[in-house]
Order: sequence, then structure tokens, then C-alpha cells
Amino acid sequence: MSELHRYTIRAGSRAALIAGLDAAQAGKARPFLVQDETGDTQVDASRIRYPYEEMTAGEVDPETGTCLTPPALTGFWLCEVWLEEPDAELAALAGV
Amino acid sequence: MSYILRSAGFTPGGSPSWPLSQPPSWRGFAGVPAPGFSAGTIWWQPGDVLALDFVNGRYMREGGAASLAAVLSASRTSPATWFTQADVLRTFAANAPAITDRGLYAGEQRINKCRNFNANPTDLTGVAKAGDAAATLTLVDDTAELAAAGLGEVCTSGMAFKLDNSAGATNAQAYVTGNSGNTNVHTMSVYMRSTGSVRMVLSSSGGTNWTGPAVYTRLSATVTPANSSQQLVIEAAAGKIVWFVLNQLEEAIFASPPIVTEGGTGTTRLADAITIPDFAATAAASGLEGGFAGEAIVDITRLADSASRLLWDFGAGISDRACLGIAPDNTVELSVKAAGAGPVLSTAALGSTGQYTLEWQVLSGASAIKVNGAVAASSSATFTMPSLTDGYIGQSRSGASHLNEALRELHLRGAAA
Repeated sequence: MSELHRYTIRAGSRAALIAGLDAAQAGKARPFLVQDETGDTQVDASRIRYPYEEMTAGEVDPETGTCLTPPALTGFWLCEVWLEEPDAELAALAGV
Repeated sequence: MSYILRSAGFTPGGSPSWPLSQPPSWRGFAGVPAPGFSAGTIWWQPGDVLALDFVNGRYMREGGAASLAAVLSASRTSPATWFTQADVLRTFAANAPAITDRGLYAGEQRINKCRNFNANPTDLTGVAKAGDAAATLTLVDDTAELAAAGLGEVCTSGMAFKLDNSAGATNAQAYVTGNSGNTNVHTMSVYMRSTGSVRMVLSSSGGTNWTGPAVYTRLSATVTPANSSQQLVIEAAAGKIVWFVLNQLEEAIFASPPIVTEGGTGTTRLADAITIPDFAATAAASGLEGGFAGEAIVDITRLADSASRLLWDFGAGISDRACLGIAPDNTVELSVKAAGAGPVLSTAALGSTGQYTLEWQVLSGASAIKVNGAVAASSSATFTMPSLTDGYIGQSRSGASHLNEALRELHLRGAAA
């Protein structure tokens, strides 16, 4: 198995993530985005983790298991892309 | 391999060497096999142009034995696991289709929200002890027990988590880092063995009953988190010991095959994208665009899934395709669309889980679905056939509606008018 290249993309909204992937896929043989049955735009789920909201870890009392600080939304969205070949556009989006 | 070489039924002059009133035996029809073929060579069905026997690892394309790569292309840039018929857990590298003697598993994307290292742990990162102060939480070598449970290929180091509450007077818990993150339905699962009463719960949201498997057994429970902070918890009653590995917390209504976690913020098992390479060429050469038929053997392990489970999706786009699947109401549904219009054929609901043989015919004026050999739905509706540009197995062309079940066999052939 060849080594995979992973890119974590962070943006202020799901729409911004999708827009970034849309721009990055231009001219490529295999798109990062697909249209689902309802016409919505989805990521290629075989290579990209579905976009999700970033959360803080929260804090749990190790003695009792009680939640001390619940996880909270940071306001950002994330997705991770796994590719067999390096991708300069995604690298730029991911800031690597 | 040239077509002439594998077509032993043709004479050098090109005329068929069997009587024209009879079908050629080398295509799998009953009768004496053609020269060069033993009786055991022909395992596919009469008229098949594509036959995929995942259980026995044999494949045929356009009349000749074919390699897996010649009949199936898989994309999934993450590893995956899948079970054998004997419940041995196998691992599959990125882009390798998950095929065992149980069949092909075309799985949807799943996230294991647990943040520990649930297989081959080297320390207790992501797992914390709570409850009775006399309890201990350690890593132990449990190689023999893990191997006996069919986990040797995944748990290669033999290490497992051990929550020992044998000296405790009250319950003890092992909390696994990783929150539910929301209050949608989740399913948790784990392999565990014990000396007595143990259970798995999602913090305060419920879980399995108290149980006491003496050997590693996969347990699962589907619950609704009370809040977004709920965690997977392994609990041992006073005086009991529990060993566990492969703990998993997924936002789903059933447990997927185990996802080996890597710490971090949850570990992704990406979706399978499985296609038939050069499908358009086979469809054109075999006349499938005039109508096609076939059969699939599938193990149905769940009823009333929340989404459709597609066996195949053949076509050129969302509005130009034929697909067969099991709908959330447990009916078998055959949908045909060209330019967005076409019929949908549905059977009565499947009444139970188990192995099913599903047959179909997609032909304008004579479409049908058979379930276990009996006609379950038919239609004389006429329609325009979709363009058969590409073929997806076990999911829709948009990467949704995964089968998430064992597909044992798939056969495809031209329709009989």
C-alpha cells in the first residue's frame, strides 16, 4: 500500500469547506464533490470525511465520570481528505 | 486473453460447434462442457455476461474467468475490517475491497468517536478508571484469548484493557475518552470477556444489560445520548474482572465492523466506492442497454434501516439510471429512470432477516423482481432504458445508500423478451 496523504481542512462554515473543495478540484480527473439524489452537494465519502463541526474536548471528572465541562462548538467546520497522491491545492487549503 | 482462446465452442472457421437449436455449453448452459472446459469450470448462470462469486472468490466476465481487478474497482482511502463466515475479523488496506467467504461488504462512512487506541494499545491513553478505589485498570497480554475469538489479525500485539474489580465492594468503570457530541442515536460496541457481571453503557444513557461472557464476545447497544457529553463506559460489578478491546462509538442505528482507532478526534472508516470497470463496454457488447436481468444473493441482517440499501446502480447519472435496493420499509425496490422519468417496482416487505436470492429483469414492457425464486413484483410499463455508462455495486452513484450487508453473489445478463 502506498503512503496516503492526509489534509485537514478548516473553515468558518460547511459552505466554505465545500467551496474550498470545489475550487481545489478544478481540472482534476476525479472530483472531490458529488451531487446526491436530492441535488445537494456532498463530498466524495470514499476519500473525504464528511464535514463536521469542530468541538472542544470537554472535561470529565475521572473519579466519578461526571461531566465537568461539556464539549462546546468552536464555530469552525472540519473535514479530512485522504489521497494516494499529494495535492498542492489541498495542501494550500490545509496550510501545510 | 483473446476472445477466440476462451471461446472453445467456436471452430477455426468461426461457426458455432454446437447445434444452433441449443445454447452453448461454455456459457454455462446445461449440457456437456465444450472442449477444453471441465464440468467444474462452469459455475455461472446461463447467459451471464458478468458473474461475481465473492464467497468463493471466483469471477467471470463475458464468458471467461477473470481476476477480481478485471471485474471490480474499489476506492476507500482508509483501512477497513470485515468478518469471515467463522467470525474471524480480517483487515483490509486502503482501496482493497472487503471480501471474505462471507461476501463483499460495501460499507458507508463511519466515525468511531472513541479517542483511545482500541487495538494494540501501548498505554492507557484515552481510558480512565472511575468508581471503586480498589479497582485497577491495566494493559495485559491476552494473546491467546484474542486469537481464539478470531481477533488475531487485528489485535496483533495481543494487548487488551483489563479492569480488575475483584477487590472492589462497589462497581468500577473504565471511561473511554470521546463524547457523543450530540443527542442523535448512537451505537456502541466492544469485544469483552469477563469473570461475571459486566456491562457497557453510554454514561447515563443506558446500554447493554449486565452480562458475563467468559470468552471475547462482541456486544453492542443502540441508545440515545442524554446530552452531548456522553462517553462509552465499561463497567464491572464488585468482585468481577473485564477484559476489552475494539470499543466503538458511532452515530448510527447499528454497529459497523470494528474501526481500529488512532487516538485523535475520532477515527474514520471511509465509505466504499465499488464499481465495475469498463462497464459501458460490457453493457454495449452484451446488449444490456436493450434490457438486462440478473440475480444477487445477499444476507439481510437488519430490517427497517433508516436508508435504502442498494445492491447496484447502473446508469449515467442521478436522473438516468436503474437501481435495485431494499427500501427502509423492507420492500425490494427496482427503479428505472431515463431523463428523470420511469417506473418504480416494489415487492411486499421482506418479513424476516436471512439470506435472500433477489432476481430482476429490467425490460420495457416486462420488468420483474423475484424473491427466492418467486415473482414478487412485475410490471408491463414501457419506458426508455437509461444509458448504462457505469456500474456501481453496493451503493448509489452519489456515494450514498450503502448496502452495509454481505453481498455473496451478483450475476448480470441480457433480458429475455
